[in-house]
Amino acid sequence: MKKLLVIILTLAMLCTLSVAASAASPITSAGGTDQADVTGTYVPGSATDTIYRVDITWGSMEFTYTDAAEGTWNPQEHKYDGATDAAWTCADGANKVTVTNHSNAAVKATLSYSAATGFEAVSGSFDNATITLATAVGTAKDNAPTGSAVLTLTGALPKNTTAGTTIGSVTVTLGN
Amino acid sequence: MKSEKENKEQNGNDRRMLVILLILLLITLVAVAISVWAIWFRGKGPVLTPDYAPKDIEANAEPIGDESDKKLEQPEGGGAVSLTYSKEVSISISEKSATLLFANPTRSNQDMVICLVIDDVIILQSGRLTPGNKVTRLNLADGACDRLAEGGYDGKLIVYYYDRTTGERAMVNTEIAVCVTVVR
Repeated sequence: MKKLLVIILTLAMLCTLSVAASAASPITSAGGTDQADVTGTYVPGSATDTIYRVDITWGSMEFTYTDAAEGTWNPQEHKYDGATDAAWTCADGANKVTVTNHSNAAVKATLSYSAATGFEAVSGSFDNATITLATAVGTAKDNAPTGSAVLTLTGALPKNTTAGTTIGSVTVTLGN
Repeated sequence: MKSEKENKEQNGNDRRMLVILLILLLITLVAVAISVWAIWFRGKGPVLTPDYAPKDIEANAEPIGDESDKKLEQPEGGGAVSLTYSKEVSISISEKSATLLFANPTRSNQDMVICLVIDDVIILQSGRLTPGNKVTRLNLADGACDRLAEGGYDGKLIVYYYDRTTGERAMVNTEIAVCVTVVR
């Protein structure tokens, strides 16, 4: 019984032994086979630096402040006719800032207005103060991610302000 | 043999001379102290941003080689710029210079001046950078080295734009957050 068990175990061990594959065992007969190991080595590619290229365009940023008008006194109705509120106006597109991303990374542009000294009564805000632009990777040059925002001013401009005076500035902060 | 009166006069003269010497010594000490403070310890105020573009073109500017690029369309009365940059700036205290990548491509319609600011201290300010040029090295502002130690800082590049014809500063400027590494 013991002998039989030893024989079975020996056969089982022989079956599990792998035959070393080697080209050193040439094919000596027709229809014979041989095998060879295929090896692979991973070499990491060079990391690409992030290069940012951003286009920014802006309008003339020329605003006109029209003060409130009382209108004409109507003695019959006891009220002013044609009274208007003060208002800021500008030419079409003059208050627009556009940011376009040609970078190989996403870009976030934050737009803010700061009043110049002496004009702190005037404040400005953008309708789209944060513009998030996706990476330009995979986009055509003429179809780069782009976004825009429009500046609106509020507050009163002092009466003695000369036309064309710089009353503030716009900062485009680029981050990611 | 001197009389008592002569001795008193002599003593008085000596005392007067001593007082004068002490006053002169005090004045000298104050003058030296003021000089030391003025040379080494007086805080330097921030460099003011010019309202008009500096006449001098940045000495470290190099051509990009993109002259064939088409100009950006500029809204009437406004401006159009293109910026190329990386967010890493390296400063060498021993060389008193910064290494960075910043370009004003030919596509731009404005001249540029860049400032590197750390904690509201202006570390450097470039000369005029015209379209089609880049800088990879800029000199530090006077005294900037005294404010820096080895290590990393969060800084910002402030870019001012100037009309190419009038030299007038545009109402729009740009700020870019950068990582600044300072080495000896």
